[in-house]
Amino acid sequence: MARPTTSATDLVKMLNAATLPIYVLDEARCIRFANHCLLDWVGSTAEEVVGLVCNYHSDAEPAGAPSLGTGLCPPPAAFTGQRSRAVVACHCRDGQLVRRWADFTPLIADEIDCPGVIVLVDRDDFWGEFEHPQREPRPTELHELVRDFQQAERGRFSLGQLVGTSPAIRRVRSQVRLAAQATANVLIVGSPGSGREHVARTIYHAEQYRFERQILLPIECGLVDGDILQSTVRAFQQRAADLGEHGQATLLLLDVERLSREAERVLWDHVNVPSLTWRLMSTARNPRLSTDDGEDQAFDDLRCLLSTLVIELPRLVERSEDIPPLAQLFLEKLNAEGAKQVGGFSPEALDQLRLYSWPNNTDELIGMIRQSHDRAEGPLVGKSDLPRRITVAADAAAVARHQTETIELDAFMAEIEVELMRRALQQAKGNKAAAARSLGISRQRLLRRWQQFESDPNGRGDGRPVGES
Amino acid sequence: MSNARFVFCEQRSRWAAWTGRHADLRSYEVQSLDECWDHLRVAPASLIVVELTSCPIKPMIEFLVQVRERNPDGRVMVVGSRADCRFEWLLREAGAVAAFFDPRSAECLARQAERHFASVPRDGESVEQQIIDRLPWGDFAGS
Repeated sequence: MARPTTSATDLVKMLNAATLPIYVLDEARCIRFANHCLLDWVGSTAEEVVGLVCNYHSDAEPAGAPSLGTGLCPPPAAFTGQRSRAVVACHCRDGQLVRRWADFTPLIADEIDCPGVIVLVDRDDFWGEFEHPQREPRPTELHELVRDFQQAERGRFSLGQLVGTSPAIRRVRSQVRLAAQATANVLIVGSPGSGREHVARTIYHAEQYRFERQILLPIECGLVDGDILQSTVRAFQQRAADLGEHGQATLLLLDVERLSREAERVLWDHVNVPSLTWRLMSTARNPRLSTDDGEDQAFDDLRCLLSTLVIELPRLVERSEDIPPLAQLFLEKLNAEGAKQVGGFSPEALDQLRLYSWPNNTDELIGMIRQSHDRAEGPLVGKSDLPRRITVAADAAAVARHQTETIELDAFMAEIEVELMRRALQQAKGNKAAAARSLGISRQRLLRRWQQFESDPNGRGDGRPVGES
Repeated sequence: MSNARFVFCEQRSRWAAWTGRHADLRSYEVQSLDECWDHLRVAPASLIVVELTSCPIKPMIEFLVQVRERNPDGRVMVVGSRADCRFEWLLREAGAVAAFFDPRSAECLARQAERHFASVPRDGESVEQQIIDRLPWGDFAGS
C-alpha cells in the first residue's frame, strides 16, 4: 500500500488553514513563513513579514516593520534548543499594542546547531499584568517591560508633541532635530515649567533610530553631592561601556546650575577625557552657565563642554499663538486616558487662556486643562469651567497691566544693613569696636553708616545703636 | 514646609526607620500608591519613597511616569531588596530620582532628602522674606 505523500504546497495549505497564528524563523532569526492567521493578527502582508529579521531588543518603532520584528522575536533561549513560552506583541490596526502568549519550539538538528524555531501563538490577546517580581519572575519579564516602556515613552516624547507655529517653537523644533542627528552635548535652557526635561527626552527618543541600544540616566543635580555623583557616574560609565559601539548612553543633568562645586569637580574629572564615549544633556534656567569670577578655569571649561549646542525654550506668554493648539493637544490626551470626552474650548475660554500670563508655563497649562476637563459638563470647555485664578487674572489683565512683585533695592539693602548692624551691636553688648570687627568693617565706618541711617527721614532702624543708653 | 512632605510607601516601615537614623525629618507612612497621590495633591513638592515590594513593577513605572507628568515638583525614590536591582536603570529612566537596594544606602537617601527639602520654597513667603531667610543671621544673636 502506497504511503500518502505531502508536498511543501500541501504543508503550506495546511498551516494556512490553522486557526492559530504560526510562524517559522531560521537560525538567523529571519521569518521564513507566516500563516494567514498570523498575518491577520499583525495586520501586515506576507511580503512585509516574510524576510523580517527579529532582534531581541526593546527599541522599536510605534508601528511598522522594526516594531514587528521586535515584538515577534523569540527569547534567545529558543535558539539554544530550549522550548519556551513568552509573550509576543504587535501593534494592531488602530495602533494599540496587543500581546499574546506564544510557544517557541526549536527545530533541533543536533545539540549545537538549531536550524530554526516554530512559533505557535495563542488565539487570545493577553491583557494581564506582569507577575509580581517577588513571586516568580520570568526570564523575559524585564525585556517585555523595557520594550513596552520604550514604546510608550517614544509616543510621549515625539517631535510632534512640540506643537505650535510661532517662530520660537519652530526654531526649537529645528534645534531638536539637529541635536538628535548630532552627538554634541546639549544644554536646554528655559524658565520653570517650560518643558526642559520634555525636550531633552524628545531628543533622546528621536536619536533612537540611530542606535541599537540606548540608556538614559537623569540626575537631579540639586539632590546629589560629590560622593553620590561619583558613585552614580561610575555605575553609568560601566553601563555605557557594556553597550559597545552600537549603543548610546546619555547622562541627563537636570538643573545643572544647582550642582555644588564639589560635584562639579567630580563631574569634570569624569568628562575631562580625550574622547567621551557617552553624551551629556543638561537643563538649566539660566543660559549663562559661565561665571566671570575666574575662580577656577576647570569649572569654566566644564560649563563650555556642557553647552556645545544651546536650545532656549521660550516662555509660554511669548508664544501666545501656540496656546490654542497646545491646549487642544493636552485636552485630547486626557480624552485618550479616560471615558470622558471633551471636544475643545469655547472661543471665550480661549480668549481667557491667551490673556493669562502663565508664570509656570506649559506645566501650569497642563494642570489647568486637567482641572477644566474634570469640570466641563458640555461638549466644550467654557469660560466657567476654567479655574477662577485664570479668569480673574485674565480679566484683570484685560483692564490693567499685570503688576509684578517689585523690590526697591536701595531701601531693601539699607534695611538689611541696619538689621545686621543692630544684631552685631546687640551681640557685642553695645561695644562698637567689637560689633565692627564681627561685621568686617572699621569702627568709624560702622558709626558713619549708623549716623546716616539715623538721619534717614524714613526712620529706618530704631534711631539709636543697641546697647547705647 | 507645607507644600512638601516626606512620605514612605512600604509595608514594614523599615526604610523609614533606617532613614530616620540619619535625618531629622518628619515623615508620613502609607501603604499604597493611591495614598501617595493623596499626599501629592496636598503637598505637590513631596518626596515619596516607594518600596518596590509594596507594589508590582509595572504600576510602579506608571506611577513614576504620572508623577513626572502631573506633579513636576514631586520627587520619587524607589527602594527595594537586592533582587530588585535589575530594575534600577528602568526605574531611573522612568523618573525615579534615586533607587536604593541596600539598607546601607539609607544614609544617601537621607542626604538627598535633606537637600530636596532645603531647596523647596515654603508657601506664602514673599521674595523679600525668602532672601532674608537665607542671610547669615545665624552668625548673630537673634533679636
